[in-house]
Amino acid sequence: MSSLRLVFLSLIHYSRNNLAVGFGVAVATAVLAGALLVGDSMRGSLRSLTLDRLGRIDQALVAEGFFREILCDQLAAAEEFPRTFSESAPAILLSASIESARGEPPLRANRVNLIGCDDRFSQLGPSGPGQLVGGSGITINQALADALEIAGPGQEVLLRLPNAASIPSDSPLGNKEETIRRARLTVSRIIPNEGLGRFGLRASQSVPKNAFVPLGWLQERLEQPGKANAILIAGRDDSASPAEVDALLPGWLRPAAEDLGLSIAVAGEGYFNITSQRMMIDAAAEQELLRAVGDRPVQPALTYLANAIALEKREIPYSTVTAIDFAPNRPFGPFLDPSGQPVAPLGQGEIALNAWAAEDLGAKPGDTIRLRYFEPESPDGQVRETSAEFRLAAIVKLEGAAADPHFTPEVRGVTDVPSIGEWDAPFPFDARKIRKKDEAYWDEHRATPKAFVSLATGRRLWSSRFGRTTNLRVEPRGGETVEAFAGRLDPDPAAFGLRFQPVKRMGLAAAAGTTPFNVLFLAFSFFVIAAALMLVVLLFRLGIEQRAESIGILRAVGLDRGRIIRLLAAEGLAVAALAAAAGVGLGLGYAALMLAGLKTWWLAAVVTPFLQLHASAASLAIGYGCGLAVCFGTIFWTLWRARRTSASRLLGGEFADQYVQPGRQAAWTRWLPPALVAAAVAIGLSARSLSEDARAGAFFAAGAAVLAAGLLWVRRRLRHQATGPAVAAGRGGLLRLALRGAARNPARSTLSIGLIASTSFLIVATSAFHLDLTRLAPRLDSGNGGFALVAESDQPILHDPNTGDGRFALAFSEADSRLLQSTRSFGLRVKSGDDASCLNLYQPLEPRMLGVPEDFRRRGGFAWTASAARTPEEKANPWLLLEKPAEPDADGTPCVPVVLDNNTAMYALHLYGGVGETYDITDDRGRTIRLRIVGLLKNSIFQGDLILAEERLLEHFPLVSGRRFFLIECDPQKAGDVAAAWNRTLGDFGLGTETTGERLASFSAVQNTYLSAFQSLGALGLLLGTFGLAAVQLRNVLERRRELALLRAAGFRRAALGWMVLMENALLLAAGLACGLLAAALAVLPHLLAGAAAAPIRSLAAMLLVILLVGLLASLLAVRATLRAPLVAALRGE
Amino acid sequence: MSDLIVDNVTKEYPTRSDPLVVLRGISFDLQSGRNLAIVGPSGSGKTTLLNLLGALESATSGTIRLDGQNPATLSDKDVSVFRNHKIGFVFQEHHLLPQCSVLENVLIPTIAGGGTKPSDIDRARGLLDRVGLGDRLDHRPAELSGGQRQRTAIARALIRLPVLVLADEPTGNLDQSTAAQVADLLLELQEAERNMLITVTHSAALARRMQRRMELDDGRLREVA
Repeated sequence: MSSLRLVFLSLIHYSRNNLAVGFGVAVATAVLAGALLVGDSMRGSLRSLTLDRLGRIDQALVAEGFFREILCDQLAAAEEFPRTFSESAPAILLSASIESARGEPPLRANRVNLIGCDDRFSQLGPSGPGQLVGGSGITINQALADALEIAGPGQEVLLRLPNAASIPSDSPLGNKEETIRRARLTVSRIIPNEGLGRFGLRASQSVPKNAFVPLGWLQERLEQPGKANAILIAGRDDSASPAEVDALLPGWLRPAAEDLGLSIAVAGEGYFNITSQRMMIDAAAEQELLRAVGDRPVQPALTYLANAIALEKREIPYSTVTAIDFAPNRPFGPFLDPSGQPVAPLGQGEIALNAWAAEDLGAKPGDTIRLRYFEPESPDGQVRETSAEFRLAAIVKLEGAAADPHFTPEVRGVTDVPSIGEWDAPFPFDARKIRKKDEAYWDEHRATPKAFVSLATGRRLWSSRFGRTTNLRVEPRGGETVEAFAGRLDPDPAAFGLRFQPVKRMGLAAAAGTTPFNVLFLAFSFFVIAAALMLVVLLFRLGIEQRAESIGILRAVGLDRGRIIRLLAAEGLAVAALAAAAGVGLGLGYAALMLAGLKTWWLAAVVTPFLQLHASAASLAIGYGCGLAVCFGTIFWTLWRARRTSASRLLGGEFADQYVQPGRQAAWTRWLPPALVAAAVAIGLSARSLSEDARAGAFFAAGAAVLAAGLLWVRRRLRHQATGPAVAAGRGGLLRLALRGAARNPARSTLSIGLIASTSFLIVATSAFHLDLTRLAPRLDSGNGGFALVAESDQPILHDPNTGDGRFALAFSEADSRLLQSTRSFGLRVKSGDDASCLNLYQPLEPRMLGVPEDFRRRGGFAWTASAARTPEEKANPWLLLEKPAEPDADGTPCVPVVLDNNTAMYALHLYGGVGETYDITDDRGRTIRLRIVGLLKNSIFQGDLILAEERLLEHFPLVSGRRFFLIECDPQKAGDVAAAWNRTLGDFGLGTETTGERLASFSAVQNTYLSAFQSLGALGLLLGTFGLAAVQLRNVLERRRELALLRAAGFRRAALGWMVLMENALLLAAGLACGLLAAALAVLPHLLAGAAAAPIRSLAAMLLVILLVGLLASLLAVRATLRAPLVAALRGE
Repeated sequence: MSDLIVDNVTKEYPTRSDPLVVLRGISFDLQSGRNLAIVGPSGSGKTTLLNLLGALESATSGTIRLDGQNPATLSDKDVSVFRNHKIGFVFQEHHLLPQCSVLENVLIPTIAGGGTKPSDIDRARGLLDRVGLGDRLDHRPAELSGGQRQRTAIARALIRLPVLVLADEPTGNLDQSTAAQVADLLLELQEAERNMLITVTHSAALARRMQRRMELDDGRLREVA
């Protein structure tokens, strides 16, 4: 005989009880492992999606402008390329909108990824568009086909795509009218939403709407022959390349000046003139060019268009003025006065005219010259003319350095036309002002500047977010040709936006997800786990209680407590080990069930049904280990609690707490319940003045207080055995006996009632947090900020719909324009990025940014969770905090103030520090920008976005033009008409509208779905808990078998005793549910009446009814034990 | 010097009112090879006294010394070792482990002694032969009669060569004939093992066969003829 054999024999002998304990262990382990597998599945599915949508694409370069597609071939031709990569493909990637030609109104799909590609693209992965047919064919994926209700090839669609403009639209020379191109195409093929069919560089689980057209066709349409804006590089296999290879591609990239948007030419007196196709050289590019030029002498210049150079009433129309510090020597100078003397550099407020202009105006030194010009930035499509006066300091001869037309960068439609009268000017241009002499000047000198100011003066007047320089004039080294110079000039392409990104590695990193679904489902499954562990405790304890005599004899023959605990623990461990293994298997099923839930009932939580079951060995092992540890811990705790029972009592078949004498109770048990009720009333009354969430929380707290009071009251009654007489005259004797029976063990009964009450309270009371925001009327201090509509467009809108001119420019009809007069809209700047809202499960790496204009900031509004406001003005309107200067961080890095939604900060970006927390982003040039949170919005329509002051956004992202995000104030009754007007007129821009309610509802749907999942799994736990209640009842019956036998001996029928036991159980169940529901009603009802909550009352009622019925059915186990108890043996105590 | 000395032992149980005094100033002693019957009406404290002698419970006051050791001074672990080495129990209800065979039930106390040795198995077989169950070694308790179960319990009580065997109504659940056989067996084995036997019984027949008889009444113990 050995301990091991004794354990083995006990395992076999008590197999029924061990099976029951094992069931609890298996359920707990299954839920633990299942929750971990849900996390695995989420990460695995996101990872699979990433690999699917990218195929073998490992790195991608997407530029702001266009470059020669030959760059792609040059990369692939690098000797080392094949060692790490396999293919490369050039592409044009644009955001477009596509309209189905059928239907009225026609169906339109916005935010379509338009991919111009050739056969090389399809080599990058499976399920690509294949060979694209030129002409008017377009291949679309199934998602786009579904959106446009296109059943098959042959249907015509209207494609709207952005114009490829070099000069930013927000600058006076930028095109504001023809920003959209259109093409009518025929769908030639529909490809499935898999592989490259769902290609996209942004990480999102939603299926992108993709359209594929031949690269050559798109180049032609955009007038960018032989050019692309993206290079996609495939790795040698499906895996992501390691970080070490990131430096390889930039090393092999050899862009020419034109690929960087530059022009380098020999000009004037023999200097190398560097100009930009965007007219202004942006700050980052200028800095990099100055670095690349090295120690060569460089002279920057800024040339600007003056609408007029005037002296009193005489004026010269449309002339260029150059800001430059006159150099005395070649090649940058000299600038000579009429006497042939070099003109000294100009000072502040001074101007020099060339001889032609001076003569034309009749100007002489000392005269006041007025320049009229457009402000350098033209937001909302409005070019504003302004002027400045100068003292004429000098007149320069129109020769040598001053007769240099290269001061003016090439501007298509302006500098390349034969006469001024033929200018295709994107600004208000009055050709009538052009005189013959002006045309003659143009014929002879082209855009040679007629006036000069100092560089400092020019930059003060005309520099903007687009730059402060138009020319970098470089002195050549002796005999150096411009080709040699351009070849040696090797600026970092990243400074010009040519930057490779390890898209696959980034995508896989983002696949870690924002929401830890394993933790989430562990939390959701809390009640199931708790119920399973309760079952383990109850059943295990039931088992050892039934074996009390055996344990007693072991004690009597000399086994010490420790040895007996070890023996029973070993038995429990064996049961737990085996059952946990089975539980892991069940865990796969539980995970599959949860995934099925996420693909159907809880779809709103994940937006699209993409989840597949993934199971990692680590999760299975952790699930097993945790399940085993938790369950064995529970078993050991149960044994430990029972260790003090004396051997003599064990021999009598008793455990320590089987019968509790009614006794004196502490005074607090008398005053605490009414105190708690009073507290609940006080909380309820004070909650009226609180905000929405705080009110829900307050009512929840009030409900919890009532629950605690109810449970204390029940406990007190039970401990006093104040359950009425066990025997009394009249009917209902059995019920009275049942009531007394339920009070037999007050601690156990209170615990049972408490567990059911608190669980049902939590399940029902969380309904208070179900939000129905579709009904939320526009209100300034709410999550909708008082706006009725939100509109977003694919292409920037450059005119202001608030003004008559703007509406006219945008082509609103007269009727629509009248309708819009009663509305007010705020256009926000948009820097595209990842969706960081709860609708995107990927970890956002580059969240979208919005720039809010000054009038929006002054308007204020929205609900705030927290802000860094200090002054009364800031407290009244925390948006003002965005205007504060960027204060340096501890390491001296300036921190740009940012506002974002609290949910985005907490759950997507994990900025748990809240206000004051910093977050780094990268600009288009790869430079880091540090943002500091100054305000957190509550349940707002801005979920998923980082919000900066418009000026700050443009400072860091100067190429963002126009506005793509609009908030519209209007009468909610007219919202439908207003939305229709916007959609109708601005459809060309890929604009779509939604009500703020719809937008908020799409966000709150995620929260509501999580709550539903919590409630459903809580109900499952409660259901399991009713079996625990039955186990408690079974313990009661077994403990009372002699009493029950006595009742039978006294003439009670078996069935009557069965009824009595059933009623005892029903009383506990009903008391628990009643306490829980009463308290929950208090928590939910005020919120429901206020109309803010949307409790799923029917499903909850159904759940609780099922729980009641299953609980009663489970108690039949105890009834069965009662009915089967042998009378005589029980009476003899056997 | 006596091998069992009980000196002025009192046992009380706390209640909501005054403590319930079960035993009052119990004193007696017993030498090896001697046996003693304790008789008395129901509720007189006989089983409580037996539990105190067997170190299953501790006295409120007074001392019990067995083989020179006072178990009240020992730790829980040492009390278990003390019980295992020095005391054998026979209860009215046999308390056999239903999952174990007859032989295994007899060997259960050896587990507490650090493991079963071959000599333990030989002794168990020998004891079971002596109690007439040599042919039932592999039977389970459920397959035995009441007398056979009680004889198995007697063999279990003797497996560790105890100095004191305590029997609580050992024949209480048995018919007359079986009770006589069990009584014979108890006395025979006590004679053979030269240990002390104290039996608590209602049975006058069994009490008469013991060398000494003491009566417990209202918590007080007195020698009877």
